[in-house]
Amino acid sequence: MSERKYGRKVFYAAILVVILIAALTIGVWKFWFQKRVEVIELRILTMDLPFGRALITTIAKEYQKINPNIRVTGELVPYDTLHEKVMTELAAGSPTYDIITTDCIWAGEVVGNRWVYCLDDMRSEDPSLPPIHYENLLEASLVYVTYDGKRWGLPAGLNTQALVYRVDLFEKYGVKVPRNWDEFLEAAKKLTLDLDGDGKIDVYGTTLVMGAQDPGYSDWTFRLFGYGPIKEGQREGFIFTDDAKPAFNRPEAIKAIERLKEILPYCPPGCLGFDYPDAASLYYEGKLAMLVHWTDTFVDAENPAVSKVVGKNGYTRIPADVVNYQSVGYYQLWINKASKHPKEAYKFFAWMSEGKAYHLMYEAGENALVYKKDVQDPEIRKKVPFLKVWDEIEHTVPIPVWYPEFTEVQRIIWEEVSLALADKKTSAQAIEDAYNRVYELMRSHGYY
Amino acid sequence: MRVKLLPFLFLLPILALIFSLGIYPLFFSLYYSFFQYTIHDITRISFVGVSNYIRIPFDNLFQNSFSLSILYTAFCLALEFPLGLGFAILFNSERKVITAIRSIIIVPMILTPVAVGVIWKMMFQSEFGIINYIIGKIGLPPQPWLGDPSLAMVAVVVVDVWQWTPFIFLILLASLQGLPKEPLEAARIDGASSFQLFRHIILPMIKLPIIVALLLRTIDLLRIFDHIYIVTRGGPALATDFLSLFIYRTGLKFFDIGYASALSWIYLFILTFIAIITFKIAKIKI
Repeated sequence: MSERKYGRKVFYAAILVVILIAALTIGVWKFWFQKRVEVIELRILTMDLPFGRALITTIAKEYQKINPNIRVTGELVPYDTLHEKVMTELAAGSPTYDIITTDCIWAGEVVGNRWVYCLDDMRSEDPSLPPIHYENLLEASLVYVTYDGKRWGLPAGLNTQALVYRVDLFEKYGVKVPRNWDEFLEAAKKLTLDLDGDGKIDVYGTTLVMGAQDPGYSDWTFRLFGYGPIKEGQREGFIFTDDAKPAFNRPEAIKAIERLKEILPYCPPGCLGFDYPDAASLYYEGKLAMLVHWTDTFVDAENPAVSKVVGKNGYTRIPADVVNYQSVGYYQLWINKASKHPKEAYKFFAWMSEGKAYHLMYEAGENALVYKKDVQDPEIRKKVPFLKVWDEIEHTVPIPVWYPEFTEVQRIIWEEVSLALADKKTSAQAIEDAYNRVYELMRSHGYY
Repeated sequence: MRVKLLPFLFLLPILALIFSLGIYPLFFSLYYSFFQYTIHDITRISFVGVSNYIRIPFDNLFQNSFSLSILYTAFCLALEFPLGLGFAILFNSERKVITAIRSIIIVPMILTPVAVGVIWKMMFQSEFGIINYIIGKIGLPPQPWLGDPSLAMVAVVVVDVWQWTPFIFLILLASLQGLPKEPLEAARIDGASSFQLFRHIILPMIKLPIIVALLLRTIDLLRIFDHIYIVTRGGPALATDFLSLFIYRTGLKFFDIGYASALSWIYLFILTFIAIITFKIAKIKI
């Protein structure tokens, strides 16, 4: 009997202990959790470029200073994998990242699927949200965040192309800075140099960057756009007509490939396999006399840590055969529709648009500046010499990003142009095949 | 008879894992292969029957990738097998020096393909790469290894041969070392030459390991991805755009999920077919 009594006491004591432990655990956990929820974490998926690095370091720190309850963190992803990561995250409705970064050419995919918040709608629904000061940013950058007349994202920068050239070599060999592609060819011929007389070329006139989709497609468009659009006012007419039909089945598109072919002998061997970093490192090593590309390609030309040609460079707009048209583009920031903190992310955008964040991007080495005050600042213009290229450009042309198929269209054109450059088909055949493939792609997606 | 449930309970977690990560996605992809489903408009998924499968043989890019994959597999096997077998015969000894060399030979196989890709990409670089530096020293002009379509194929074959010949070497060496001594000694006493010994005694005895090694390599080569993605990205001018890269791009770059699923299933059938044929030829029961 006493044993039974004793056993019962132990039993009651055990239950009490369990209840106490449970209560204590819940109490501690709640306390810890509540302490935790006081700090909201904004996670950014971004690009491994100066602006992206600034976003998760200096900008994050600055924002936390004025908003101690917000912690801005993030992940840097190289360009190659960013598209895939962004799309899989968004398609899966994953809330891992509150803010995501895209190249402008993917804008149609994220907005078209409504995977991101419409910032204008957010403010209409909650008027207490602060305004986003788009007026502080360059007008041309807003094309890529404006869809159906509403703002959906925030530009991270704005970029165009430039001709960067070795002033010392141009002066020494008496070569004129090219304004059209004939002069460019002539300059490349004259500046393909065997400096030490050993029979080997030490400096190439220029290079094409045909080993990857984006630079390869761009190399072709630089030439094509210089012939102007099909008709005045039809800005997307370089690639598409107004009814989403491909618009590049014209002699100028074939001529653009021929322009690429004629420059090949003055490019380093292997340029058909080059990506952006290959071209940049050759330029920094002093192996190229000229390079025509997006300005972020040669962002470190004036950085003594990586470049041997610091202070020897001139910058101007890209050559054009008829009229200078240059694409503009860059990266955008969006609020993930699955974010758990969309309003906090919006407030972060609003704060960024006031300017300090953009200036921190510049301080981190970003050159695709979009904040008007920075772009116009004489001190900054001295330090970022190719900002003057903006003044020389005659016309800018937006990339037709609102077709979600654009990434694939770009790929098709690059493939066909590459095949022509590798003499696998003629330039005319390449354009015809590209046209047919793009037409079929758009048709199969229900455009016509 | 009473069935014991406990062992099945223990198996349950791993079965759940295999089902959710292996079997379910596999059949899910089969399901989607009958739909037009792209990321451009995820709200519009339409049943298209076998259209995706019909599209495959008429797709020029598929034809290009498929023929390149076959060519690449043939080139690699043609080099890796004789080299692997040669090394296995050469290093089939228990001397200490030989053991040390054997260890060195298998090092490339241990490295991750991505690291191998990055290293070789740097070595093949036309301006600063060590390969052009060396051929320059012997008086040859620099070659655009990764910029010329035919040289790019050579480059990726070299990378694979460098990394995976040790795999064939290892399998064949193990099988050579496991051979019984008696038949070899008997043949020698009967006056067989080294070639006859190899041709009529050793080769038939290591037939099975050879088939296994070739089959594993064939499957590996047909689904090659890692170092190609790093070294050439399928270029230049689609010269190394192998099937796995093509499917990856269709599915994960352009998110044409339906077509990529159909391609994957065709790919699976091709690999299975090759495996069955190989086993049939070798008269091995599976």
